[in-house]
Amino acid sequence: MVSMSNAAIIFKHVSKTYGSSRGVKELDFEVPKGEIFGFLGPNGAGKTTTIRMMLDAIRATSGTISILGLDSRKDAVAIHKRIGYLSGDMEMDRRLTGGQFLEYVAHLRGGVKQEVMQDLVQRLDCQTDKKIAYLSRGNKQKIGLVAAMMHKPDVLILDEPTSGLDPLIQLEFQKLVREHRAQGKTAFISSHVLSEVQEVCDHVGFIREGKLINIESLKGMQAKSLRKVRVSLSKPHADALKGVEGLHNLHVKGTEITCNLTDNFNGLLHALAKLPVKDIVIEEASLDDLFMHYYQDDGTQNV
Amino acid sequence: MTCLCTTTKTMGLKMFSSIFRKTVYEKRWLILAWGTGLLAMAVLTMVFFPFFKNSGFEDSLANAPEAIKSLLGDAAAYKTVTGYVDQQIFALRMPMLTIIMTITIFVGLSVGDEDRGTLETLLALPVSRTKVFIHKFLAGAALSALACIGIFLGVIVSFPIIHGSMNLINLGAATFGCWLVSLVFGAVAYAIGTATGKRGLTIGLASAIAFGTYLISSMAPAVDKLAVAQKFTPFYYYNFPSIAQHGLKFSNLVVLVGSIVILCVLSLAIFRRRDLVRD
Repeated sequence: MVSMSNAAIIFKHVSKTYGSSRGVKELDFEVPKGEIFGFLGPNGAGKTTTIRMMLDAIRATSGTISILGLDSRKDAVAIHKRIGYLSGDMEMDRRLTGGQFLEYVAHLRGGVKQEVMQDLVQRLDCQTDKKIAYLSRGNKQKIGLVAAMMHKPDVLILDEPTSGLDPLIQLEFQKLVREHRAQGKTAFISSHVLSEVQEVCDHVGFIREGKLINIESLKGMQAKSLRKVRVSLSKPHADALKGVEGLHNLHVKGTEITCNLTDNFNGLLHALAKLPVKDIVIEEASLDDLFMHYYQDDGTQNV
Repeated sequence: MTCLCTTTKTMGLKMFSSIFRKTVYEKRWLILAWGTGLLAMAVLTMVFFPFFKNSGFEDSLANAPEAIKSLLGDAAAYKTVTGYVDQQIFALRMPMLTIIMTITIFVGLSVGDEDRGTLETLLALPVSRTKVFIHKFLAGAALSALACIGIFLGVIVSFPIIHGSMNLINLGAATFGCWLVSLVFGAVAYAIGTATGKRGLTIGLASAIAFGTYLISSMAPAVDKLAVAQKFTPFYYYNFPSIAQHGLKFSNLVVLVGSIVILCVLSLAIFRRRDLVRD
């Protein structure tokens, strides 16, 4: 199947069920070429299931996934030639050294340039002469990153890619992903930690309990007027700020009030004017706060 | 393939150029240990030949119940090196060991790799499930064969010790037969493992099939009701008639090889379609 779409990755009504347990439901979205897409959700939300379907390790119960115009099931080998994959818990052959593993992967891929691999090994400061069984998680992860990027793939599929990496290597990883994008290539990065993807992503998709809740541009998300508000009163006021338009997650504990504010400052300001305010802090919500906002317990979407 | 030697310090080695080679390389020490063990076992068994030859063992066995005779084999054969090798090496001892070894190898190559997650890592590379299946099967078969050579060498090494010898072609054929029947059970384990991805089921079922078919085959000469059942066991097509004495029987060879091919084709069809198991 050849798609005329400009999308590098297309999910069409993809569902996966595991008997009675949860999988993913009706995933229907596209990732344009040349974009870094963050796929965010808490543990067990369906991120890894989604990625395993993209890699044809498991098969969708219904729907289709297209990568670079190819069908993820029928054209799995052709797709795997053009993608690089890494997961945070990727298992490699423990009896091989890091170098032997890379050599093995390079042989199976074919056409890998030694200088490209050498460059990655140096940039990520990999230990290639030690058996994988004796490498720390972070060092294994670095070998996995080299294996995923050594052939300059068109699409990177990364599942919690920086877990275990030290901060310096994380920066190098972000640099590598930006270089990848600069070449007009695509990446799909899943994580349950926003900070892992917020430095590099163009768009972020939120998945919860197997359902894609929303896709937002990173700029759009940051521009959303979600603010964290903390108010200190000089004396307790039980009904403080109740019913004020645009307020969410209101918590009143004695004289301390915390809440999130969207859109409307006027309602808050009017309400505050009637209260004995001692101190007030209004700050821009971090992506983590935005994330929590999406995943509040009642499952409703707030933004 | 470009040279990655300076990075990996494996200059000139082609061990990682295919799944087959890498698998064999990875399990080289395990197979060396098994091969050495089988060689030692063969030598240890052979050094008792002079004792059996001169002990009048066949007279002791003459009045034994049929069931015992069927387990111990033809007592008269203990008088010759060929007969002794057939009865003591290839009738029971070595096939049991090589079957256990081969099942272990194929459990490791199928559900072992899937359990560890290395199969999923491999299949994320541009290699088809069919290729992985075939390479791993061939690697398992080669590893089993390499270890079985230990039996062949062990018997030859013992010739000067027992001051006797036998036809080396027949010895080679018997070793080949021993490997082939082991490979059938290895293929059973591989088929269950690749078709289900379930370790417990694979080990349990493959072991039960090996043990059950061995019991049927060994008791069949003494129990009439098992006469038909034994024709459905691989053992029936392994050493009847004795390979060490009469060489390989082509029709037996066809049945054993055919069984392996059928098991592989059926399990490959399932393996290509199923979800990989992940804990």
